Amino acid sequence: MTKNNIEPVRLMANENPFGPSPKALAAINEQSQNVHCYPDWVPQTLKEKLAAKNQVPLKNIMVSAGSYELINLISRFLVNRDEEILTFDNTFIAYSLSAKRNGRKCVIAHMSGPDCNLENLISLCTNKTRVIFFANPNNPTGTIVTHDSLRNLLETVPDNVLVVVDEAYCEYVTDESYPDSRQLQKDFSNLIILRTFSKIYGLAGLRIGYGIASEKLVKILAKNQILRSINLLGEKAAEAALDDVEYINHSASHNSKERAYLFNELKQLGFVVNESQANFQYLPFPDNEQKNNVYETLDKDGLKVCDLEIFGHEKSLRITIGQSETNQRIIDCLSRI
Amino acid sequence: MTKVLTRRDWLRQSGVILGGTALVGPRVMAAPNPTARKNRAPIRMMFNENPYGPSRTARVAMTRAFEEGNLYAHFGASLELKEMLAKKEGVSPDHIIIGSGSREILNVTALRYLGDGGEIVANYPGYETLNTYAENLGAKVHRIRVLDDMSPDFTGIEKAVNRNTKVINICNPNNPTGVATGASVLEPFCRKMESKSLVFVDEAYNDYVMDKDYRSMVYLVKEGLNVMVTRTFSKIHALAGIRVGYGVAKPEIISKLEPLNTGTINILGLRAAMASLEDESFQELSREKNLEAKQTVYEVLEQTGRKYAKSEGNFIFFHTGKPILEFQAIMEEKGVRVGRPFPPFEDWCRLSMAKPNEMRKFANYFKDVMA
Ligand SMILES: Cc1ncc(COP(=O)(O)O)c(C=O)c1O
Ligand SMILES: Cc1ncc(COP(=O)(O)O)c(C=O)c1O
Repeated sequence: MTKNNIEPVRLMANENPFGPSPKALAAINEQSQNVHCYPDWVPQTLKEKLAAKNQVPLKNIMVSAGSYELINLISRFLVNRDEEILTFDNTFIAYSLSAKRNGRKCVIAHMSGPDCNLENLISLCTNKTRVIFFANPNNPTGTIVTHDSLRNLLETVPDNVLVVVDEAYCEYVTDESYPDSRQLQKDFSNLIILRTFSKIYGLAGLRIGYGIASEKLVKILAKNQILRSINLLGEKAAEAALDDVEYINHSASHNSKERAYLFNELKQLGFVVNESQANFQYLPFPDNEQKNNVYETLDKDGLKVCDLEIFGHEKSLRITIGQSETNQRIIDCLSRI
Repeated sequence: MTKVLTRRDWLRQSGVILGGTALVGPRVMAAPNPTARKNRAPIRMMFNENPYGPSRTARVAMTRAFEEGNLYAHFGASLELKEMLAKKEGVSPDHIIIGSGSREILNVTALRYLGDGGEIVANYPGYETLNTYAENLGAKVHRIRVLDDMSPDFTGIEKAVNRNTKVINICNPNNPTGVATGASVLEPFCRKMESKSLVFVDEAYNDYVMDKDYRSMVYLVKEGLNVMVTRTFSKIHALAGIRVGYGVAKPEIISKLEPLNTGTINILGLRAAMASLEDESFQELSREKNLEAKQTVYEVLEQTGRKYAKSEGNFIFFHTGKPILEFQAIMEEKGVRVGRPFPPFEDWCRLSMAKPNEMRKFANYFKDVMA
C-alpha cells in the first residue's frame, strides 16, 4: 500500500471489525419503513429471547439503551446521595464518570498491574459503599476475575452492597476459570450482570444492552428508566443478531486466533504484554515517550489505536483486534521500530 | 478524532462494510409493509404518529447508516445533528440538548428541577410525562383544568405558582386537546412567569400548526429568558420508532440537564433525523394530508353534533358521550385503535390522524356508533 493511499482502520473502540451481523442488517431493512410507529413500551420479544438464551427468568432481565444507560440508572437510582460507588483506577471510565454526573461519590481502588485484584476493592469497602463496579474481562487490560474470586467477593461483602460485573466482552473469553455469573446471580441477589450488543454482536451504534439482576432491582431500575429509550430498529436488529450463530461464532473464533497471533508477535518484538481475554490487547510502556513513538508509528500507517491517556491512564495503549490483514499490518509496522 | 473517522466515505472504502449499500436500493423501498400485511392489525389512531413516514431520504439515510452500526459513531453524529438543529433554530449548539425522543428531555428536566421535591404547575389535561416522572420523584403537581373552550387557564396557572414552583408545564399545541395558544397570549405569560419558574413549552406538534398567531417560543430562549422548548422527530418527521428529540434553552440550563441524560442516541436515528430535516417536501406533504384527514373528521363530528376542539396538531379531541374505555372497545372491534383515556375528560376521545381514506372509514363507523 502506498503512503498516500492508506485506509484508516478504527482500532480504538473495541468494535467488531466485521461490521454488524448480516441477519441484523436484513431485520433493519425489513423494519425501516415502520419507524413512524412507536416501539412497544417494553421490548418483549427481545426480553424473552434473552431470558431463554441466558436461562434466567424473564423477571430478571432488563433491556437498556446500551450498557451505558444501565450504568447511569444504577448510579442514580440504586445509590443514595450520601453513599459511595467503588471501582478501580484502570478500568472502564463510565463507572466513575456516571458517579460524577449523578453527583455520587466515587472511591477508586488501585490496580497495581493489569489484573483486577479484588482484595484491593474489599479493603476499601465501608458501610457507605453501595455499589462496586468492575468490568470482566477488564477494559482496558483484558484480564479476567475468576469464578472463585468473584464468589469470594460476593461472600465477603455485605448483602446490601451491589456488585456490578460488566461482561461486555464475555463472548470473547476462552479461559475456563471465567465466572458463571448467571449461576452466581441465583445465589447472590446483590449481583448485577451487564451485557451489551455493542461488542461481538456488532451493534454499538444501535444502543442495545441488558442487565441480569434480582427481580427487586430490575423493578426499581425499570420504573426509573426512560420509557421507550430503546429504538425499534435496535430492538429488531438485536433479536436477529442473537440468532446469527454463524456470525457470532466466526467473530469469536477469529478473535481468539488473532489475539494469540498479536500476543505472540508483540512478545517476540519485546513488548510487555499480558494475556487478554477480550477483543483488544493492552500495551503498557515504561514511559510516555515510547508510547507516543508507537502510537505515532501506527497512526502514520492509518492504524488508529486508543491512547489511554484520554481516559487518564498514562503510558499505555489499547489495540482492538482487527481483521487478519490489519493485525499483520500492526506487526509489520511495529517491527520497523 | 471520532468525527473524522466516522465519515462514511472512508468507511465505505474500508473492509468493514458488509455490502449494505446494495441492499439500500429499490428492494427496500418496494418491500411490502409488514404491518399492512396483517390485515387484522387495527388502524393506528392512538399515538399521534405520522402515517406517511419515514420520508424516502430519511429511510435511505437510516439504512445506509447501518454500515456504521457496529461503530461508536453516534458521538460524532450527535454533534453534527446538534449543529444542524442550532442552525435551524438560529442559536448556538450549546443551546441544544438531544435525547432518546423528547421524552428523555422531559424526564431529565423533571429530574434536574424536581429531584429534590418542589412543585409543577401544569395545564390539564396536558402531556403528562414530565409531571408523572416528577411525582415519582416526590414532587407535587398542580393540574389546572382548561377553560370551557379547552384553552389553558393562564390566570389559574399563574395563581397556582408559588415559591416552590420549579416548572410551569405547557404543551403547545396541547396534547390531547389540540388547542394552540397564540403568541399574543403566550409571550406575555412567559415574560411574566419566567422570573418565578422555568416555563417549559413542549412543542412536539409545532410543525403541524397553521394558526397565524402561533409562534414557537424559541425566540424567547434567544432573548435569554428562563424558557425551555422541546421538539421531536416522532411527529411530522415520522421517526417515532428510532427515538430522537431535542430541547432548546439557554446554555446555563442545557449544561445542567445534559449530565443527566442516560442516553446515547442511536446512529440510525441520528442519520435519519439529519436527512429528514432537509426533506421539506415530505413535511409539506404530511401537513397537507393531515389537514385533509382532519377535515374529514370535523365533518363527521359536525354531522353527528359532537363537541370538539379545533386542533392544530395531528389529532382531534372530541366528545363521544361514552366512557372512553367503552368507546375504545367499540372502535377496536371495527379495526380502529383510538387514544387512551385523558382524565378528567373521561367521555372524550383523542383520535390521531391516519391517512384520509382511513379517516373516511373511521367517519363511517363513527356515524354508525353515534346513530
Ligand atoms: C467494559 C465496557 N462496558 C460497556 C461498554 C459500552 O457499552 P455500550 O455500548 O453497551 O453502552 C464498553 C465499551 O467500550 C466497555 O468497554
Ligand atoms: C406533547 C408531546 N410531547 C412529547 C412526546 C414524546 O414524544 P417522543 O419521546 O417520541 O419525542 C409526545 C408523544 O406523543 C407528545 O405528544
